[in-house]
Amino acid sequence: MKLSCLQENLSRGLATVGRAVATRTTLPITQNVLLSTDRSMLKLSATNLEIAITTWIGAMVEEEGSITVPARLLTEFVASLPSERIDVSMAPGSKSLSLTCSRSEAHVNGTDVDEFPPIPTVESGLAAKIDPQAFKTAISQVVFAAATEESRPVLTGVKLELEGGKFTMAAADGFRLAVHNGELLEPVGEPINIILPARTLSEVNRLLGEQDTPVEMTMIPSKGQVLFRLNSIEIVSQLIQGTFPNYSQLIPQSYQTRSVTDLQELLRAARTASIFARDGSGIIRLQIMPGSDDQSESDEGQRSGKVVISARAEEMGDNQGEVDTFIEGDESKIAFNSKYLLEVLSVLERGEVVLETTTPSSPGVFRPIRGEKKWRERGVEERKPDETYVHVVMPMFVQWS
Amino acid sequence: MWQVRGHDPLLRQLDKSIKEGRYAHSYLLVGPPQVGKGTLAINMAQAVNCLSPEQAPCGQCSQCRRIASTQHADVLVIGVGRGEDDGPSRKEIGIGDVREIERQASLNPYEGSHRVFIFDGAERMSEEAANALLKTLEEPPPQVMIILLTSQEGALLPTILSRCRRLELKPLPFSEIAKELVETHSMDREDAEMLARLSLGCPGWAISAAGDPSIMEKRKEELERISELSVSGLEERFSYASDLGSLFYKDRDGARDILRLWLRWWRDLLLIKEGAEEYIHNVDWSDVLRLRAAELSTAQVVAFIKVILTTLEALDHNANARLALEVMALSLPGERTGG
Repeated sequence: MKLSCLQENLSRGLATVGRAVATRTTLPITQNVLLSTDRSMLKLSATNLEIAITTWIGAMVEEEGSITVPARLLTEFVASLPSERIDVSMAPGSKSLSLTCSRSEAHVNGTDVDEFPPIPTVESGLAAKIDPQAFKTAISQVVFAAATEESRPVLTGVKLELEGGKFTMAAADGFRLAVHNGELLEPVGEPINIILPARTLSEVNRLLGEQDTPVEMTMIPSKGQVLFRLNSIEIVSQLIQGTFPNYSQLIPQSYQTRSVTDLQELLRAARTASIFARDGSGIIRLQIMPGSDDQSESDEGQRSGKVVISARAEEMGDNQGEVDTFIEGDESKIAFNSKYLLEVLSVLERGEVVLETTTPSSPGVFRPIRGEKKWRERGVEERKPDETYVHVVMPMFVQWS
Repeated sequence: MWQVRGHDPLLRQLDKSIKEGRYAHSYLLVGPPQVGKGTLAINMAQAVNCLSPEQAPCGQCSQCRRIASTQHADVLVIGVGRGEDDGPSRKEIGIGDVREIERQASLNPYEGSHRVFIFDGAERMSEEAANALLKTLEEPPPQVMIILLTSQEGALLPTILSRCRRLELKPLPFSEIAKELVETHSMDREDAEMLARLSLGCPGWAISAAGDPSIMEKRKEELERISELSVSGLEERFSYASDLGSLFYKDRDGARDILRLWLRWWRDLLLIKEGAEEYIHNVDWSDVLRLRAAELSTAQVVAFIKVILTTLEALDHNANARLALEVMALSLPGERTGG
């Protein structure tokens, strides 16, 4: 094997595959990265047996070859080099990779490629194309709601459904549920229904970066693997086996109170409350109160009011903040875990948030609002939620005095 | 070809059920150490992943070869001392191991068609680990096989036992092991027969002893100390007990093995006393054994065998190792100068 490439390309490539390098493992070779020549490119691959990432970087290939070397060692060495040309070589029959850059030289002892777990290839299968930025939004709105505890493995995954020209991504951890509905660039031939590890989607999100060409997704359900093809990067992930809970029945079909609030104001008030909530079991209380007088524009039962956000820590103190809102329905009270409240408010993009509640013991539903206008300037019809995203949070049971 | 030696009826049954796709998802392999449980488990992993199902496990295809060389991503052996980060002092298979397995089991197989988890020494599972495993054991995800290996079936929870199909591997006849050693390891007849006898019917031990002279070397050293201790004074006995005691804290299995060596030595003494010398295991020590046997009464031999058994039991129940071993050393019949 003999080739040369630029330090910055190699370093970037190693960083790309680095996230798939195993850290704790029963198979020590998965701590290595696989280098191989592929036509006039250098191909880098790593796998932790759950996710495999492959990337290609430009290189001048003089002699073909392949080897696996410890990923961390190589990555750190390459990162420390000046931004110049690196000559990589390995004598035939030897297992030591030599790297020369400027006036540094290194030899890294490697292991045969045969011992490396095969990087799964997905030649053909059901394919779909998604707009990269829309996919990123979907991932960031859903993935955080997946369970981290592994007592129910399906809940550590994210459900992805593709049908016709639409996709739905959903995650739940027993206390909350996030569902994002989006559009595919091209309709899929047959419906696809899979559960992906949440980590895979986080990696796809990270590696997508600023990419503007479509993400290609290919699946072979029989092999239980899915391939994401990005710009010169391929991510293959194992799928999670099992049945995802039927989440659509968890989304409340009706509400007693619907409030439309400025997102930033509500988020700021919630952050303030979370400081006190931290020492008081993480509880943030929301009281949604219609305005007291009749000056409220009472068209179709909608009127202005306020949301009172409060938190209390025994022995430490308490706080209370108010945010203007627009209310449809009755007065209402609900308490949330501060982490859940802050997380959902942080991923909503648009300026306003819709909160639907029924009783203090039934779940609260967060939705983004449709369109771009400020809620104060909206007419009645324009205060409807957007159907692209819904987030259901179980309330906390508190004594309302 | 199944690589396990002996156990033909069991293999026939297993072979049939795998070829017909009617195998269980959880197996319990019971048998003394080194009898071939591990080899069988690896063979089973090959059989369900093999690329030529007609000859499974063929041992030739890429799947079989990767499994045999422990490179396969879907075949995981969990045992004491094999865990991540922990040194050899690991005493049990913990709940962390089981959680990790549950996670892996929920993922589709990576390169093969089945994920196989082999618990080597399932009796070392902590109670909470065993309980955590129950759910997966009873109803593993499709394409998952769990194989528990144990030499101490009684130490497993009944709830574990009831969820597995049990296969028992019995010790092989000496002659079969000797034949195997002569044929495939080109040993001469006499050595092969002695190893076969010492192996207690467990081919794994015989094969590793055949390949590694240090095993027999170590046995010789230990037997020398055992035979000398019977005629030595209190000081040596105490220092022996203390050495063995500290070994026990570093390497429980190693210390238990030495006590088993004691047990077999005294078994041989009893056999000689009762005129059944042809059955003794330590044939290479028969002269010394005969000499010692002449100095002892049958009652003394029987009494001391009981002492060894009590000591082993006390150690299993976490007695202070040094005290237990000192008691044993003091009960050793024979000369005790200075005491």
